[in-house]
Amino acid sequence: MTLLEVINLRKYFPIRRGILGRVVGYVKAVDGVSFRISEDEVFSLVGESGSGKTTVARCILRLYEPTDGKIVFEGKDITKLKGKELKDYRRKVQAVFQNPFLSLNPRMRIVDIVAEPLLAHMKISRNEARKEAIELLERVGLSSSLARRFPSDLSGGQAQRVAIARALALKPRLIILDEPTSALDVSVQAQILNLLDDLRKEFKLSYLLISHDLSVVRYISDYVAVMYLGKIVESAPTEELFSNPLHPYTKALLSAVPEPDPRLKKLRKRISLPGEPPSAINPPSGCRLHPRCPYATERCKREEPELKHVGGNHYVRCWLL
Amino acid sequence: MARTNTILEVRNLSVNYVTLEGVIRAVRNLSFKLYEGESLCVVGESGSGKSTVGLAIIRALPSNAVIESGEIILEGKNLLKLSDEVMSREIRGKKISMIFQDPAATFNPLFTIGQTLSDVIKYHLGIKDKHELGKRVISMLRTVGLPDPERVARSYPHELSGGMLQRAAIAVALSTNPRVLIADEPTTMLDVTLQAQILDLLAKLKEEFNLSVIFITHNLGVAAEVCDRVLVMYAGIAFELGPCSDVLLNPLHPYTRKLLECVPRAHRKVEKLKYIPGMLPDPRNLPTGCPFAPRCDEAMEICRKSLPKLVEVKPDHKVACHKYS
Repeated sequence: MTLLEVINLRKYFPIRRGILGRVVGYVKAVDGVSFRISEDEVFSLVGESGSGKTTVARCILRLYEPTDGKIVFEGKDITKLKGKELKDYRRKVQAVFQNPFLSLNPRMRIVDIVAEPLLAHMKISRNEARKEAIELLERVGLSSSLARRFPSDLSGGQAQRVAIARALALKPRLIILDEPTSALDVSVQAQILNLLDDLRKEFKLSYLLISHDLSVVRYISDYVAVMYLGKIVESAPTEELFSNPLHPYTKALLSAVPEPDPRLKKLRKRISLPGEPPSAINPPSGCRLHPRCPYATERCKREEPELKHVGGNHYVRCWLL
Repeated sequence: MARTNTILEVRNLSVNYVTLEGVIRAVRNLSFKLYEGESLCVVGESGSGKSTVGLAIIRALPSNAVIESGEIILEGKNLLKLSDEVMSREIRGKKISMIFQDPAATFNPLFTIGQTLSDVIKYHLGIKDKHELGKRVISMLRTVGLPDPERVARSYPHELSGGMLQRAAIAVALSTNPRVLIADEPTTMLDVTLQAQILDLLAKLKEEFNLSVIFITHNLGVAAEVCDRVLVMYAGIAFELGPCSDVLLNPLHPYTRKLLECVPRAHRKVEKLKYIPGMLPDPRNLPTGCPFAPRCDEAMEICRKSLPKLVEVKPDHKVACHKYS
């Protein structure tokens, strides 16, 4: 069952100049992105800075108004929701961000941070909300003795657990995880990844994971879509994508991830992309990767390839296939 | 690797930070040698003291740091005994250069890349002729693979992307032909494809400039990629020191082994990640004995009482753990 479907999503940010604020151009952060997240699925959007992955997440959270396209959640387009319906949607879709110290109110006690969404959405007393919050804190591995503390008393890993408990409080269907472990040390990252995995099964959740870290993505997701300059260039079930990447960008991205096992290092062939991603203000014509792609042909410079089905649930946007 | 000369030696270094909330013991009794032509990785999580080691070597520690004890020997001289004047004229930026996680740290935002680079060359190499300086600036920027070096030289730091600015910082660091380069997480802020470019560039320049490198990182993959030897640190203490492939394939210290087990992999499927229970110790209140003991499933009585010494267990492979003593 499809839980969320994003159809041809576009988000352009206007560039304004001068005292009249005339619009002189657009940053095409997301330029025609479509994907589908099923129930109980972990779907990952990977890409480097500027690929538009976080903008997609923010559109889904209704933090940004999309320029064009639809976002269908449980059969309803949520881009136009208002009032009670929007509130109901916000209850079902929650988020955990990269830096817990920026997403937790520094002047609230831990227990109240987790109780807040319950008070906002449910008709319950503060005491009941606090009791439930403490249960949630214990479920994410925090001792109830921390409940009266403030975020600044916590380590990064503990603070991220609080953010996860808060996201769980309203029993959502979907949690958007935007780089949830990027700010954490590896030994703590593993704890949080395992916690997320356990919670997903226990609460029957779907995750949309936004990440630049392919190793985290491989560990936790069922399906992966790779973004480059506002477009999905390849998408496939996780193991298929990692064992059989087809798009030159995916290959380069994967081959650039350093591997701690010196034996695997020798087996790996590095495909390097020269230069840096161009600006999303005037993206290259044709295939957006062509100025950096080692396999680019004349056609790649002129025409933009479509996302092509190559078997299984594997899609690639490349003229070479 | 052929065992050549020692170029830099750190002996019994201990560094504390004095803060209002108490004393942080950032580095405790650290000793290691850097051999000529090698690259040595200092690996650790936050609070391990790895960055403090780098800053102590070039004597650029923040003002609340106190060097409790130790010697840092370069070419027979103890750097900790040199005057500030000698340190800045002859060592820092001349014989030992450093690059940082944030390349903007190398530059003054009010000067162009070219101005900064020519100032460094003028100060350390005594070249005053403008024409000659300009030529050197452009050739350094070209050496680090920057396209259109003339334009880069005229640019201010904010006009360059992170990857380009890190290349420019490398140009500044190497413009004086240093013997030692300290690279503190130089690719942590970059995307993986740019990280790969910078790591390749550093490997190439290491040969070209005949450098010995201390590479500080939290990323074990990066360590495997660039290093000959690895030094694993935890809470200010050296836990393990040995050849890179040996340490990463056959780790001796329980911490190193567990750390490797909790890294998710992009190049191999992992069913269930292991993790290290608990968290890093509070640096103001370190346990007596081994700082890893509270999280270690092999901890014994003695681990909670006394700090293990770094001893050689296999040829060239040292470990600080009571299991081996």
